[in-house]
Amino acid sequence: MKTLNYALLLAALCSTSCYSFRGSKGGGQTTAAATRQASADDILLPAGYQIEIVAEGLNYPTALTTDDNGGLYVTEAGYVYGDVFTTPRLLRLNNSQPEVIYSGDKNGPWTGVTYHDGSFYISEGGQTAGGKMLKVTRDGKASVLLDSLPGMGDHHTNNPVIWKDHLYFGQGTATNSGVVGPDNADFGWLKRFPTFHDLPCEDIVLAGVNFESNNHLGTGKANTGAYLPFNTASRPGQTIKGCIPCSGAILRIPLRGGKTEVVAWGLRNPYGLALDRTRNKLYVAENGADDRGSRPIFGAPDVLWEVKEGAWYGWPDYVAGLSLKDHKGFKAPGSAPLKPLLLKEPGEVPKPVAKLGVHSSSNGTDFSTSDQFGFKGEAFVAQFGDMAPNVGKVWKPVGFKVVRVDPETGVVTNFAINKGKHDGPASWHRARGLERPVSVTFSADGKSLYVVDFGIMLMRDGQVLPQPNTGVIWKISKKS
Amino acid sequence: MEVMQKIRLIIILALFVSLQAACHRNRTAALEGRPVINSERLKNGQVMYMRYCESCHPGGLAGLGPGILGTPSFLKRFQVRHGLGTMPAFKKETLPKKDLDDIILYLKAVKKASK
Repeated sequence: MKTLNYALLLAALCSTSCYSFRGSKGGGQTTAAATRQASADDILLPAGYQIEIVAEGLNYPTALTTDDNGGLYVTEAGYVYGDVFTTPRLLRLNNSQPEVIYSGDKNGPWTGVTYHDGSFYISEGGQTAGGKMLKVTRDGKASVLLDSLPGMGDHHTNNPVIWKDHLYFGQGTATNSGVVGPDNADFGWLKRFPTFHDLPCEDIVLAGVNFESNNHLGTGKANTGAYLPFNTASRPGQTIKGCIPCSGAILRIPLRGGKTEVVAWGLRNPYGLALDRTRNKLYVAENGADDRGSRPIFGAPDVLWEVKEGAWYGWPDYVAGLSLKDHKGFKAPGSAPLKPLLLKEPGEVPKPVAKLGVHSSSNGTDFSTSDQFGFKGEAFVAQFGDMAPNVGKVWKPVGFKVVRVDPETGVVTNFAINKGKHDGPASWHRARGLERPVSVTFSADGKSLYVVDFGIMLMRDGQVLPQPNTGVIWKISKKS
Repeated sequence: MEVMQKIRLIIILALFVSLQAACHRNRTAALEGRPVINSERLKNGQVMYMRYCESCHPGGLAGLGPGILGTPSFLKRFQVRHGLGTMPAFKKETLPKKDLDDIILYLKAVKKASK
């Protein structure tokens, strides 16, 4: 009997809990055809709402803004994970073909756009030449407001928000958790920029923790420390000088020109920066760490933060306000226990407003300002969806929907999802609904919510396979 | 707790986790008002669920971790306190009994609303 019990236990553990034996079932891990036929019929919304298609066939759309007359403008990325380069574009959506307002250089991804006082402000990710902030007039004349941002790595220069006569934006980190490693070779950028690494906003003191990996820039083994180039070891007590611009931060520049300032730092990939006009506060949706690279982190949720001026949010030694040193659950199965990279913490880490799905890739965010639309004062967050197994295994697809978040309670509620038993992209469901929502934008009158759906991105045999011209713009409004 | 009793609980938990994925249904109705949060305990349970559980089990369904709507309450409690597999344990100092009770109540309401 005792033997039988132990045998049953082993079988049960292996079937349910034994992480290393279990496969991954991410939303991109489908054998479905990579073509798209979108339809609102396969999408669920709260009662009284409707969704319709505004545009389709877009090439990796990332963001939408409106002008004074309600005209719709969309950015196309120009760079996609999988190291795919296309032309980044600003398009005006007309009834027929989209009109190209401006085409950019091979330095995507364009991650965001906002319209202000007759011009468009675009965040250029910076995969080949560093991140930039562009200003584009309505007739397509572009100027560079800011350049040389550290956007050549895993994460880029993110979407702009105009507030208090400043242009605010998020700047992502170069790496997953502070250390350049084999995952960065897989991304493609390590060979392009062999000395690129994370940059702190203020002076930091390292604990001297180093990580051994294969040498992807030569032969043999590499030994790499935090905030240092690949194959450069750190030593205990080593100071890394802070600089501006830095990575993993919210930065701002005066609209009329001037110095770049740090608003907050210690963030990993602060993608979804948004102004809550009801509370007159800034919030940001941050992509949490992945189970990959030299310092993998398990079970890190995405987070909605209130942006507090001067705060340090804990990266690379905290996840969602929790210390990696004290919370053993973040240790990836099969990897070494996590040690802090910093000898001294630069500040007290704030508490998250809300925790969002692990690997959900919670990206573009906007706040409802209208009683007519409903949920006034709540954040709406586009969840691009997991990129498993490259970011870590998942039991079922995570994200691929729009959620709303009550900043007062942290309660997350589905707002737009695909029909079916589980979350997942339309391609995974073999249906025609949402694929990968990447951003959301309310119309100027607040009555409609536009959802930018990036399109199909498959994950097969370790490869990221984005499918061109599968992007869709959806519009959600109240039924009259 | 006796060792064999613990083992039996783990086995039952594992079997329920394996089977429960087949138990919930297609989501076809409108989303709002499910579940109805009509008591202080449910309200607290929802907030605590969001703080400790939602990111791995969104809406009680599978995500990073398995779906948990079909798992019996006593097994959920066991898993929360002991942390089987990759899930960390949440001790009483972190998650007091009252909050865990409210989470269980909230999950029952979510399960009922999903039928």
